[in-house]
Amino acid sequence: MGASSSTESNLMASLQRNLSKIVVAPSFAASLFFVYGFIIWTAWMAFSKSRMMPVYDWAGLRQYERLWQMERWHVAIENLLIFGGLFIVICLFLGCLLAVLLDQRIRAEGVLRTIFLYPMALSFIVTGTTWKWILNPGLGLEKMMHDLGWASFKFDWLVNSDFAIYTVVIAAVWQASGFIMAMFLAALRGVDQDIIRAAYMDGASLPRIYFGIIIPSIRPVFLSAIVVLAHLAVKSFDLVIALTGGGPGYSSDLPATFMYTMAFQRNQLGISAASAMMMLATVMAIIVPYLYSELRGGKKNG
Amino acid sequence: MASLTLDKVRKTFGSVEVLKEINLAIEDGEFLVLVGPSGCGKSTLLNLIAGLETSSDGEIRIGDRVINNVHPKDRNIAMVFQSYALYPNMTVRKNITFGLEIRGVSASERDKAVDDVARLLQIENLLDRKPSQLSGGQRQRVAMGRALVRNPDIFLFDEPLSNLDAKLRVDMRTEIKKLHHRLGSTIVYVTHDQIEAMTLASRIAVMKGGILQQFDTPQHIYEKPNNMFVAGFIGSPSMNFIEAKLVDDNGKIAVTFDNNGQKVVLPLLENSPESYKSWVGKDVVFGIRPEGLTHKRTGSDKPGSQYVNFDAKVEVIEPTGADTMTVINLGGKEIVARVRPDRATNPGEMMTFSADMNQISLFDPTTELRI
Repeated sequence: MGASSSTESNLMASLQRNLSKIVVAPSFAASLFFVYGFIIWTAWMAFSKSRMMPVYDWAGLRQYERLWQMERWHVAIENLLIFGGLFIVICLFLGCLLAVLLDQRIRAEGVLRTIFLYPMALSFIVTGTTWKWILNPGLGLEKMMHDLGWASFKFDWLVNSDFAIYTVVIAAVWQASGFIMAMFLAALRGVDQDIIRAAYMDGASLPRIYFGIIIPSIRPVFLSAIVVLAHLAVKSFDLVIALTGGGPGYSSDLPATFMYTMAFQRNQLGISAASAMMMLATVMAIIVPYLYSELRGGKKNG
Repeated sequence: MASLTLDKVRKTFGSVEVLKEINLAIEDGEFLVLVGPSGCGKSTLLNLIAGLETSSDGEIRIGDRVINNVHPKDRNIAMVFQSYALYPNMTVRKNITFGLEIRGVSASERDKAVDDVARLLQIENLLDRKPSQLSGGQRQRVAMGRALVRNPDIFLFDEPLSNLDAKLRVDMRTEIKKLHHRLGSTIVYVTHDQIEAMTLASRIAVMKGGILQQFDTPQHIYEKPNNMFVAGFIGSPSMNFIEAKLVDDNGKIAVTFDNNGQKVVLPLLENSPESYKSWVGKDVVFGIRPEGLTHKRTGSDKPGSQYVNFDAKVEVIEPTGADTMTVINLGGKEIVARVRPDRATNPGEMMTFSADMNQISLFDPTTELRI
């Protein structure tokens, strides 16, 4: 009797001790398998002769060579550079500007903040669909202008293969700049008000106070914002699918839509895997140095 | 350098009146300290002078120039902030020259000005560091340097020492005083610390609830406080207040109060103000500072003093080294007396105390004003 109750209490005690580990274990195992397991599997696929179905014959760097010979991949990469560059720069600029304007202790700040931040709560599919309607020449902005009597108004970027990628930029900026604004606003609120007053008494104008003192002193937020925006840009997929579908033709393809097309429509699993690995390498190139500096910074503080 | 005049200055936020008709005037080279508990309006007053806020009414003048509607940068004043407010992205040198740069001072003049100020404040070796690499005391010096380099008419200090530790605070206090002597500049200094006010000021303005309570030299405020608030706020430990009565004691006016069933009668000085006469037979508040209440002394111990003795039971003693603060109970109130350590007794024992009638104040119990 006494022995059994002591085993029971031992069991309870060890359960208590390990409860957190037990609770975390399933999701840990799942992410180990589904995220890292499939990363390894994809890396393997990229070295295989897979086409429609996965096969495990070794092909060396053959898939990567084929990938880089494809005109469509070059278009996707070029689009990523255009889209990523513009998206990051415009979001930073708009976010920063909105944050500075909201920081002026204006009335109804809470309402405005919510309005600007709200697009972030939508899924990219919704954003893409909405902007597709707005930018559709026969349906949205152009038609409205024509109906209002401005017959010569022309805004056909959505169906123009030279400009389709810029419509993706417009929609993505609309969605993300509010979030960047919130990041900057939080940082601005952390700045000591006395600094602004001191600069004011020193005779600095408001733009000079912001660009000369405040914004340089919140530089770490820029780094965080760039990392957030950059990984959004690299992995953006749903927005393009909903907005342009990669078209016209493949003129607004991004690496993610390229990969999807190759895997599920063109029966080129190997090329698709190779392009996925290229994207992974790109994201790692951004994230790893950032994490490294963050973690090292944490150690220094601790 | 310039004089500063505040003429009937008022400030309201909505329907709340935070400053009620403040009249102050200081001469060129004076050190004015605004002191009071938090929320008394002293920082608002400083902001009005700085131009960070605009007054609702009244006139602010530097010299003969009315500055109510002058932009802060054109008022030729410099301010040292409580949080130092150094520009975190700039080196110390850039911090100090930022204001000069904006005013279009040439690079060579700026360098010379920085070197002069750095030498004065002994921060020459810090000029190329960022504020984050400085200690609190060093930041304080840089903040002062930034104000000094502009060579303003008036310096404003907003609780500049309250973020420093106790030891450093005393050192910096002395340093500010030395600096004032050396530069002869006009300074307005805000603090809630009455010791800072006493040690630094050439004149103190005591404020409470947006009202200027008293504006005078430190010694005068200490010896002849206008009302019970000023009396209690300035001086540490603060003044003792005893509920008492003025009586006619064989032709002499005396103050009398209850000492645990016994009546203590302390005759006032011969040269007491005439106004006391009308208070005979009425209740008053008898105020006496701890150093006016000592172990038994005679007139010859300190010329000009007039001592009256009474006995009381010691409740608590608090030795501070130089003096022993002895707490006694008079009329249900704790009263602190400052006693020489070798004359102090143990708690519970009876002891004879002397009240120096030269150092007393009498207040009206209803208006709390000095009689």
